Amino acid sequence: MKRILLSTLIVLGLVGAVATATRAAFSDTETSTGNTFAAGTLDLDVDGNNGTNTVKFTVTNMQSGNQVIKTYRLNNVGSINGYLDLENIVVTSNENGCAEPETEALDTTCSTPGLGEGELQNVLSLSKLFWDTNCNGWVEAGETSIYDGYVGAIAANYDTNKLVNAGATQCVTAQFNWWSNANDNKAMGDDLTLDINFELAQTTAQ
Amino acid sequence: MKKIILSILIVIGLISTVTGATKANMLDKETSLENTFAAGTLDFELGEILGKWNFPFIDIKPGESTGLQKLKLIISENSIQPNHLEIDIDTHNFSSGILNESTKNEFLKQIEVKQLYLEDINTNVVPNTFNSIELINLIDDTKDGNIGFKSLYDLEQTGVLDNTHILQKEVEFKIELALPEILPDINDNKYQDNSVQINFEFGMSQVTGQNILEN
Repeated sequence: MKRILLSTLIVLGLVGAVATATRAAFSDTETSTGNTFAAGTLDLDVDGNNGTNTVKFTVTNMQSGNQVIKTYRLNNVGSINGYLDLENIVVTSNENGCAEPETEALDTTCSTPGLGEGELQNVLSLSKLFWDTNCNGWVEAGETSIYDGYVGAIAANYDTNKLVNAGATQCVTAQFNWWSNANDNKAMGDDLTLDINFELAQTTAQ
Repeated sequence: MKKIILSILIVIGLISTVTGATKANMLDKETSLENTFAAGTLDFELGEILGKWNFPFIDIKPGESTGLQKLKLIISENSIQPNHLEIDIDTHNFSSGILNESTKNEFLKQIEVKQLYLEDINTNVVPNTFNSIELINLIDDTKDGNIGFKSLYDLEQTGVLDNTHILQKEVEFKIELALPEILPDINDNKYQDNSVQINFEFGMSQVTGQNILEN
Protein backbone atom coordinates (compact mmCIF):
# COMPACT_ATOMS: atom_id res chain seq x y z
CA MET A 1 0.00 0.00 0.00
CA LYS A 2 2.84 2.33 0.80
CA ARG A 3 4.32 1.60 -2.62
CA ILE A 4 1.03 2.49 -4.32
CA LEU A 5 0.87 5.80 -2.52
CA LEU A 6 4.48 6.56 -3.34
CA SER A 7 3.92 5.79 -7.01
CA THR A 8 0.89 8.06 -7.14
CA LEU A 9 2.84 10.95 -5.59
CA ILE A 10 5.66 10.45 -8.07
CA VAL A 11 3.20 10.52 -11.02
CA LEU A 12 1.55 13.67 -9.72
CA GLY A 13 4.94 15.24 -9.27
CA LEU A 14 5.87 14.48 -12.85
CA VAL A 15 2.60 15.84 -14.19
CA GLY A 16 3.18 19.00 -12.16
CA ALA A 17 6.67 19.35 -13.56
CA VAL A 18 5.41 18.97 -17.10
CA ALA A 19 2.67 21.52 -16.49
CA THR A 20 5.10 24.03 -15.06
CA ALA A 21 7.35 23.51 -17.99
CA THR A 22 4.38 24.29 -20.30
CA ARG A 23 3.55 27.63 -18.59
CA ALA A 24 7.07 28.73 -18.89
CA ALA A 25 6.75 28.84 -22.68
CA PHE A 26 6.47 32.17 -24.66
CA SER A 27 3.74 34.51 -23.50
CA ASP A 28 2.47 38.10 -23.88
CA THR A 29 0.02 40.29 -21.95
CA GLU A 30 -1.87 43.54 -22.81
CA THR A 31 -3.93 45.77 -20.55
CA SER A 32 -7.19 47.68 -20.65
CA THR A 33 -7.07 49.56 -17.42
CA GLY A 34 -8.34 52.99 -16.42
CA ASN A 35 -11.69 52.61 -18.14
CA THR A 36 -13.78 55.44 -16.63
CA PHE A 37 -17.47 56.01 -16.46
CA ALA A 38 -18.65 59.56 -15.63
CA ALA A 39 -22.25 60.61 -15.32
CA GLY A 40 -23.41 63.59 -17.33
CA THR A 41 -25.41 66.47 -15.95
CA LEU A 42 -28.85 67.75 -16.85
CA ASP A 43 -29.11 71.28 -15.52
CA LEU A 44 -31.52 74.06 -16.40
CA ASP A 45 -31.33 77.69 -15.49
CA VAL A 46 -33.83 80.45 -16.17
CA ASP A 47 -32.38 83.84 -17.00
CA GLY A 48 -29.22 82.74 -15.19
CA ASN A 49 -31.10 81.72 -12.07
CA ASN A 50 -30.33 78.16 -11.10
CA GLY A 51 -32.21 76.82 -8.16
CA THR A 52 -33.80 80.15 -7.36
CA ASN A 53 -37.21 81.39 -8.41
CA THR A 54 -37.46 83.82 -11.32
CA VAL A 55 -40.19 86.42 -10.87
CA LYS A 56 -40.62 87.73 -14.37
CA PHE A 57 -43.75 89.84 -14.13
CA THR A 58 -44.85 92.32 -11.51
CA VAL A 59 -47.40 94.50 -13.22
CA THR A 60 -49.52 96.98 -11.30
CA ASN A 61 -52.31 99.37 -12.18
CA MET A 62 -53.18 97.56 -15.38
CA GLN A 63 -55.87 98.80 -17.69
CA SER A 64 -57.37 97.71 -20.96
CA GLY A 65 -55.08 98.48 -23.84
CA ASN A 66 -51.99 97.42 -21.89
CA GLN A 67 -49.49 95.04 -23.40
CA VAL A 68 -46.63 93.45 -21.47
CA ILE A 69 -44.05 91.29 -23.25
CA LYS A 70 -41.14 89.46 -21.65
CA THR A 71 -38.87 86.64 -22.71
CA TYR A 72 -37.53 83.83 -20.56
CA ARG A 73 -34.09 82.49 -21.48
CA LEU A 74 -34.04 78.77 -20.64
CA ASN A 75 -30.42 77.64 -20.63
CA ASN A 76 -29.35 74.00 -20.72
CA VAL A 77 -26.17 74.41 -18.70
CA GLY A 78 -25.69 70.67 -18.23
CA SER A 79 -23.68 68.27 -20.35
CA ILE A 80 -26.47 66.29 -21.96
CA ASN A 81 -29.37 67.22 -24.18
CA GLY A 82 -32.79 67.57 -22.66
CA TYR A 83 -36.45 68.17 -23.43
CA LEU A 84 -38.39 71.14 -22.11
CA ASP A 85 -41.91 71.02 -20.72
CA LEU A 86 -44.05 73.56 -18.89
CA GLU A 87 -45.54 72.01 -15.80
CA ASN A 88 -47.77 72.86 -12.86
CA ILE A 89 -49.05 76.15 -14.23
CA VAL A 90 -51.28 77.74 -11.66
CA VAL A 91 -53.38 80.90 -11.92
CA THR A 92 -54.61 82.42 -8.68
CA SER A 93 -57.23 85.09 -9.14
CA ASN A 94 -58.42 87.58 -6.54
CA GLU A 95 -61.39 89.88 -6.25
CA ASN A 96 -60.22 92.73 -4.06
CA GLY A 97 -63.53 94.40 -3.48
CA CYS A 98 -65.48 96.53 -5.87
CA ALA A 99 -65.10 100.13 -6.85
CA GLU A 100 -68.34 101.81 -7.81
CA PRO A 101 -67.90 101.23 -11.57
CA GLU A 102 -67.50 97.49 -10.91
CA THR A 103 -70.76 97.40 -9.03
CA GLU A 104 -72.48 99.29 -11.82
CA ALA A 105 -71.08 96.77 -14.29
CA LEU A 106 -72.94 94.07 -12.34
CA ASP A 107 -69.84 92.31 -11.09
CA THR A 108 -71.39 89.30 -9.42
CA THR A 109 -68.41 88.70 -7.11
CA CYS A 110 -68.59 92.05 -5.35
CA SER A 111 -70.34 90.44 -2.42
CA THR A 112 -67.91 87.52 -2.26
CA PRO A 113 -64.45 89.04 -2.64
CA GLY A 114 -61.33 86.97 -2.22
CA LEU A 115 -59.49 84.05 -3.69
CA GLY A 116 -60.76 82.74 -7.01
CA GLU A 117 -63.34 85.47 -7.46
CA GLY A 118 -61.47 87.98 -9.63
CA GLU A 119 -62.32 88.71 -13.24
CA LEU A 120 -58.90 89.90 -14.42
CA GLN A 121 -58.12 86.37 -15.60
CA ASN A 122 -61.12 86.58 -17.94
CA VAL A 123 -60.04 89.77 -19.70
CA LEU A 124 -56.24 89.46 -19.66
CA SER A 125 -54.97 87.39 -22.57
CA LEU A 126 -51.75 85.44 -22.76
CA SER A 127 -51.54 85.86 -26.46
CA LYS A 128 -49.18 84.41 -27.14
CA LEU A 129 -46.97 82.10 -25.14
CA PHE A 130 -44.55 80.66 -27.71
CA TRP A 131 -41.13 79.17 -28.33
CA ASP A 132 -39.17 82.21 -29.39
CA THR A 133 -36.38 80.82 -31.55
CA ASN A 134 -34.48 84.07 -31.95
CA CYS A 135 -35.41 85.45 -28.53
CA ASN A 136 -36.64 88.75 -29.99
CA GLY A 137 -40.05 88.76 -28.27
CA TRP A 138 -42.12 88.58 -31.45
CA VAL A 139 -43.82 85.71 -33.21
CA GLU A 140 -42.12 84.93 -36.48
CA ALA A 141 -42.33 82.21 -39.09
CA GLY A 142 -41.44 78.82 -37.76
CA GLU A 143 -41.92 79.73 -34.11
CA THR A 144 -44.52 77.55 -32.47
CA SER A 145 -47.26 78.58 -30.12
CA ILE A 146 -47.65 76.96 -26.73
CA TYR A 147 -50.82 78.80 -25.68
CA ASP A 148 -53.00 81.58 -27.00
CA GLY A 149 -56.00 82.59 -24.92
CA TYR A 150 -57.24 84.15 -21.70
CA VAL A 151 -55.00 83.63 -18.70
CA GLY A 152 -57.80 81.98 -16.78
CA ALA A 153 -58.16 79.21 -19.36
CA ILE A 154 -54.52 78.12 -19.54
CA ALA A 155 -53.86 74.42 -18.96
CA ALA A 156 -51.82 73.11 -16.06
CA ASN A 157 -49.24 71.30 -18.19
CA TYR A 158 -47.76 71.54 -21.66
CA ASP A 159 -45.69 68.49 -22.57
CA THR A 160 -43.96 70.19 -25.45
CA ASN A 161 -40.80 68.03 -25.45
CA LYS A 162 -38.83 70.91 -26.89
CA LEU A 163 -35.29 69.68 -27.51
CA VAL A 164 -32.55 71.83 -26.04
CA ASN A 165 -29.03 70.63 -26.66
CA ALA A 166 -26.41 70.77 -23.95
CA GLY A 167 -25.05 74.26 -23.70
CA ALA A 168 -27.86 75.72 -25.79
CA THR A 169 -30.54 78.30 -24.94
CA GLN A 170 -34.20 78.15 -25.80
CA CYS A 171 -36.33 81.25 -25.29
CA VAL A 172 -40.00 81.32 -24.46
CA THR A 173 -41.85 84.62 -24.74
CA ALA A 174 -45.05 85.59 -22.98
CA GLN A 175 -47.11 88.36 -24.50
CA PHE A 176 -49.88 89.60 -22.22
CA ASN A 177 -52.58 91.74 -23.79
CA TRP A 178 -55.59 93.35 -22.23
CA TRP A 179 -57.79 93.97 -25.22
CA SER A 180 -60.75 96.18 -24.46
CA ASN A 181 -64.03 94.32 -24.06
CA ALA A 182 -67.40 94.73 -22.46
CA ASN A 183 -66.30 93.23 -19.14
CA ASP A 184 -63.34 95.51 -18.46
CA ASN A 185 -64.99 97.33 -15.58
CA LYS A 186 -65.64 94.06 -13.75
CA ALA A 187 -61.90 93.48 -13.53
CA MET A 188 -61.11 96.80 -11.87
CA GLY A 189 -58.89 96.42 -8.84
CA ASP A 190 -58.59 92.64 -9.29
CA ASP A 191 -55.27 90.84 -9.39
CA LEU A 192 -53.92 87.45 -10.34
CA THR A 193 -50.78 85.44 -9.77
CA LEU A 194 -49.31 83.15 -12.41
CA ASP A 195 -46.93 80.32 -11.49
CA ILE A 196 -45.00 78.42 -14.16
CA ASN A 197 -42.58 75.53 -13.68
CA PHE A 198 -40.03 74.76 -16.39
CA GLU A 199 -38.87 71.17 -16.59
CA LEU A 200 -35.83 69.88 -18.50
CA ALA A 201 -35.93 66.10 -18.82
CA GLN A 202 -33.60 63.54 -20.27
CA THR A 203 -36.34 61.81 -22.21
CA THR A 204 -39.60 62.84 -23.79
CA ALA A 205 -41.52 60.43 -21.59
CA GLN A 206 -40.86 62.26 -18.38
CA MET B 1 -51.74 28.30 -4.12
CA LYS B 2 -49.07 29.97 -2.02
CA LYS B 3 -46.60 29.54 -4.86
CA ILE B 4 -48.96 31.26 -7.30
CA ILE B 5 -49.46 34.24 -4.98
CA LEU B 6 -45.76 34.42 -4.37
CA SER B 7 -45.10 34.41 -8.13
CA ILE B 8 -47.58 37.20 -8.71
CA LEU B 9 -45.99 39.30 -5.98
CA ILE B 10 -42.57 38.75 -7.46
CA VAL B 11 -43.79 39.80 -10.95
CA ILE B 12 -45.41 42.94 -9.49
CA GLY B 13 -42.23 43.71 -7.65
CA LEU B 14 -40.19 43.38 -10.82
CA ILE B 15 -42.59 45.63 -12.78
CA SER B 16 -42.40 48.26 -10.05
CA THR B 17 -38.65 48.11 -10.12
CA VAL B 18 -38.57 48.59 -13.90
CA THR B 19 -41.05 51.47 -13.73
CA GLY B 20 -39.10 53.06 -10.95
CA ALA B 21 -35.98 52.85 -13.03
CA THR B 22 -37.71 54.70 -15.90
CA LYS B 23 -38.77 57.60 -13.63
CA ALA B 24 -35.28 57.88 -12.32
CA ASN B 25 -34.04 59.45 -15.55
CA MET B 26 -32.39 62.80 -15.13
CA LEU B 27 -34.63 65.78 -14.59
CA ASP B 28 -34.22 69.39 -13.54
CA LYS B 29 -36.91 71.90 -12.69
CA GLU B 30 -36.83 75.66 -12.37
CA THR B 31 -39.63 77.92 -11.31
CA SER B 32 -41.16 81.22 -12.26
CA LEU B 33 -43.66 81.70 -9.48
CA GLU B 34 -45.45 84.72 -8.07
CA ASN B 35 -45.78 86.57 -11.35
CA THR B 36 -48.41 89.14 -10.43
CA PHE B 37 -50.78 91.20 -12.53
CA ALA B 38 -52.99 93.77 -10.84
CA ALA B 39 -55.67 95.80 -12.54
CA GLY B 40 -56.10 99.44 -11.70
CA THR B 41 -59.37 101.25 -11.11
CA LEU B 42 -61.00 104.17 -12.80
CA ASP B 43 -63.35 106.01 -10.53
CA PHE B 44 -64.47 109.55 -9.96
CA GLU B 45 -67.10 111.33 -7.99
CA LEU B 46 -68.99 114.57 -8.07
CA GLY B 47 -67.66 116.93 -5.47
CA GLU B 48 -69.50 119.40 -3.35
CA ILE B 49 -71.73 121.71 -5.26
CA LEU B 50 -70.31 125.18 -5.12
CA GLY B 51 -72.54 128.21 -5.12
CA LYS B 52 -76.12 127.93 -6.24
CA TRP B 53 -76.85 124.82 -8.24
CA ASN B 54 -80.03 126.38 -9.40
CA PHE B 55 -81.68 123.58 -11.31
CA PRO B 56 -84.50 123.01 -12.13
CA PHE B 57 -84.60 126.13 -14.23
CA ILE B 58 -87.26 128.19 -12.51
CA ASP B 59 -88.15 131.76 -11.67
CA ILE B 60 -85.99 133.21 -14.42
CA LYS B 61 -87.30 136.28 -16.16
CA PRO B 62 -86.03 137.65 -19.48
CA GLY B 63 -82.69 139.33 -18.86
CA GLU B 64 -81.87 137.04 -15.96
CA SER B 65 -79.58 134.05 -15.69
CA THR B 66 -78.93 131.16 -13.39
CA GLY B 67 -75.54 132.60 -12.63
CA LEU B 68 -72.49 130.48 -13.16
CA GLN B 69 -73.19 127.02 -11.75
CA LYS B 70 -70.19 124.92 -10.74
CA LEU B 71 -69.71 121.24 -10.12
CA LYS B 72 -66.46 119.55 -9.21
CA LEU B 73 -65.48 116.27 -10.85
CA ILE B 74 -62.93 114.60 -8.62
CA ILE B 75 -60.98 111.58 -9.77
CA SER B 76 -60.59 109.15 -6.89
CA GLU B 77 -57.23 108.96 -5.17
CA ASN B 78 -56.16 105.55 -6.46
CA SER B 79 -57.82 105.83 -9.83
CA ILE B 80 -56.12 105.57 -13.18
CA GLN B 81 -56.04 109.02 -14.73
CA PRO B 82 -58.81 109.13 -17.31
CA ASN B 83 -58.22 111.37 -20.27
CA HIS B 84 -61.66 111.38 -21.73
CA LEU B 85 -64.87 112.96 -20.50
CA GLU B 86 -68.38 112.73 -21.80
CA ILE B 87 -71.23 114.95 -20.68
CA ASP B 88 -74.82 114.20 -21.47
CA ILE B 89 -77.45 116.86 -20.87
CA ASP B 90 -81.15 116.32 -21.17
CA THR B 91 -84.34 117.90 -19.90
CA HIS B 92 -87.23 116.46 -17.95
CA ASN B 93 -90.39 117.38 -16.09
CA PHE B 94 -91.41 120.29 -18.22
CA SER B 95 -94.30 122.24 -16.77
CA SER B 96 -96.09 125.18 -18.19
CA GLY B 97 -98.84 127.51 -17.34
CA ILE B 98 -100.28 127.72 -20.80
CA LEU B 99 -98.19 125.40 -22.99
CA ASN B 100 -98.34 121.63 -23.13
CA GLU B 101 -95.56 119.04 -23.20
CA SER B 102 -95.41 118.96 -26.96
CA THR B 103 -94.18 122.53 -27.03
CA LYS B 104 -91.41 122.03 -24.50
CA ASN B 105 -88.86 122.40 -27.24
CA GLU B 106 -90.10 125.87 -28.04
CA PHE B 107 -89.33 126.88 -24.47
CA LEU B 108 -85.88 125.28 -24.63
CA LYS B 109 -85.14 127.31 -27.74
CA GLN B 110 -85.59 130.49 -25.70
CA ILE B 111 -82.98 129.53 -23.12
CA GLU B 112 -79.48 130.73 -23.86
CA VAL B 113 -76.38 128.77 -22.92
CA LYS B 114 -74.21 131.72 -21.95
CA GLN B 115 -71.25 129.81 -20.58
CA LEU B 116 -70.27 126.17 -20.63
CA TYR B 117 -66.80 124.99 -19.91
CA LEU B 118 -64.45 122.81 -17.93
CA GLU B 119 -61.84 124.40 -15.76
CA ASP B 120 -58.72 123.01 -14.20
CA ILE B 121 -58.92 124.01 -10.56
CA ASN B 122 -55.35 123.05 -9.73
CA THR B 123 -53.59 125.11 -12.34
CA ASN B 124 -51.12 126.41 -9.83
CA VAL B 125 -50.17 122.89 -8.82
CA VAL B 126 -49.81 121.39 -12.24
CA PRO B 127 -48.70 124.04 -14.72
CA ASN B 128 -48.67 123.87 -18.49
CA THR B 129 -52.07 122.30 -18.74
CA PHE B 130 -55.38 123.70 -19.73
CA ASN B 131 -57.10 126.40 -17.74
CA SER B 132 -60.45 125.91 -19.32
CA ILE B 133 -62.18 124.33 -22.24
CA GLU B 134 -64.98 126.25 -23.87
CA LEU B 135 -67.42 123.41 -24.24
CA ILE B 136 -69.92 125.86 -25.62
CA ASN B 137 -68.04 125.68 -28.88
CA LEU B 138 -68.96 122.00 -29.10
CA ILE B 139 -72.64 122.80 -29.32
CA ASP B 140 -74.16 122.44 -32.74
CA ASP B 141 -75.55 125.93 -33.27
CA THR B 142 -77.99 125.06 -36.04
CA LYS B 143 -80.52 122.94 -34.22
CA ASP B 144 -82.92 125.66 -33.15
CA GLY B 145 -82.88 127.41 -36.50
CA ASN B 146 -81.32 130.57 -35.07
CA ILE B 147 -77.71 130.53 -36.20
CA GLY B 148 -75.53 132.37 -33.75
CA PHE B 149 -77.78 131.67 -30.82
CA LYS B 150 -76.81 128.67 -28.74
CA SER B 151 -79.85 127.52 -26.89
CA LEU B 152 -80.54 124.80 -24.36
CA TYR B 153 -82.37 123.09 -27.20
CA ASP B 154 -79.16 123.18 -29.25
CA LEU B 155 -77.28 121.71 -26.33
CA GLU B 156 -79.70 118.88 -25.77
CA GLN B 157 -79.96 118.06 -29.44
CA THR B 158 -76.20 118.03 -29.76
CA GLY B 159 -76.29 115.07 -27.44
CA VAL B 160 -73.22 113.88 -25.66
CA LEU B 161 -70.35 116.29 -25.55
CA ASP B 162 -67.84 113.62 -26.38
CA ASN B 163 -64.10 113.16 -26.40
CA THR B 164 -63.28 116.02 -24.10
CA HIS B 165 -59.70 115.59 -23.09
CA ILE B 166 -58.89 115.96 -19.42
CA LEU B 167 -55.61 115.62 -17.61
CA GLN B 168 -56.20 116.75 -14.09
CA LYS B 169 -57.30 115.05 -10.90
CA GLU B 170 -59.93 117.70 -10.34
CA VAL B 171 -61.85 119.61 -12.92
CA GLU B 172 -64.83 121.86 -12.55
CA PHE B 173 -67.82 121.84 -14.83
CA LYS B 174 -69.38 125.27 -15.18
CA ILE B 175 -72.56 126.33 -16.87
CA GLU B 176 -74.68 129.45 -17.01
CA LEU B 177 -78.13 129.52 -18.55
CA ALA B 178 -80.16 132.62 -19.21
CA LEU B 179 -83.28 133.99 -20.75
CA PRO B 180 -82.24 136.80 -23.10
CA GLU B 181 -83.80 140.18 -22.54
CA ILE B 182 -85.47 139.80 -25.89
CA LEU B 183 -86.46 136.22 -26.49
CA PRO B 184 -86.10 134.76 -29.96
CA ASP B 185 -89.85 134.27 -29.95
CA ILE B 186 -91.42 137.69 -29.77
CA ASN B 187 -94.54 136.15 -28.26
CA ASP B 188 -92.60 135.78 -25.07
CA ASN B 189 -95.49 135.98 -22.66
CA LYS B 190 -96.56 132.47 -23.44
CA TYR B 191 -93.45 131.19 -21.71
CA GLN B 192 -94.40 132.62 -18.37
CA ASP B 193 -94.41 130.08 -15.58
CA ASN B 194 -92.62 127.49 -17.70
CA SER B 195 -90.12 125.32 -15.91
CA VAL B 196 -87.92 122.44 -16.80
CA GLN B 197 -85.54 120.13 -14.99
CA ILE B 198 -82.09 119.77 -16.49
CA ASN B 199 -80.14 116.58 -15.87
CA PHE B 200 -76.41 116.25 -16.29
CA GLU B 201 -74.66 112.92 -16.65
CA PHE B 202 -70.90 112.60 -16.61
CA GLY B 203 -68.71 109.71 -17.69
CA MET B 204 -64.95 109.25 -17.78
CA SER B 205 -62.87 106.68 -19.57
CA GLN B 206 -59.30 105.78 -20.32
CA VAL B 207 -59.31 106.48 -24.00
CA THR B 208 -61.35 108.31 -26.55
CA GLY B 209 -63.88 106.49 -28.64
CA GLN B 210 -65.57 104.65 -25.83
CA ASN B 211 -69.32 105.09 -25.67
CA ILE B 212 -69.76 105.67 -21.97
CA LEU B 213 -73.17 107.28 -21.80
CA GLU B 214 -76.32 106.32 -23.57
CA ASN B 215 -77.77 109.08 -25.64
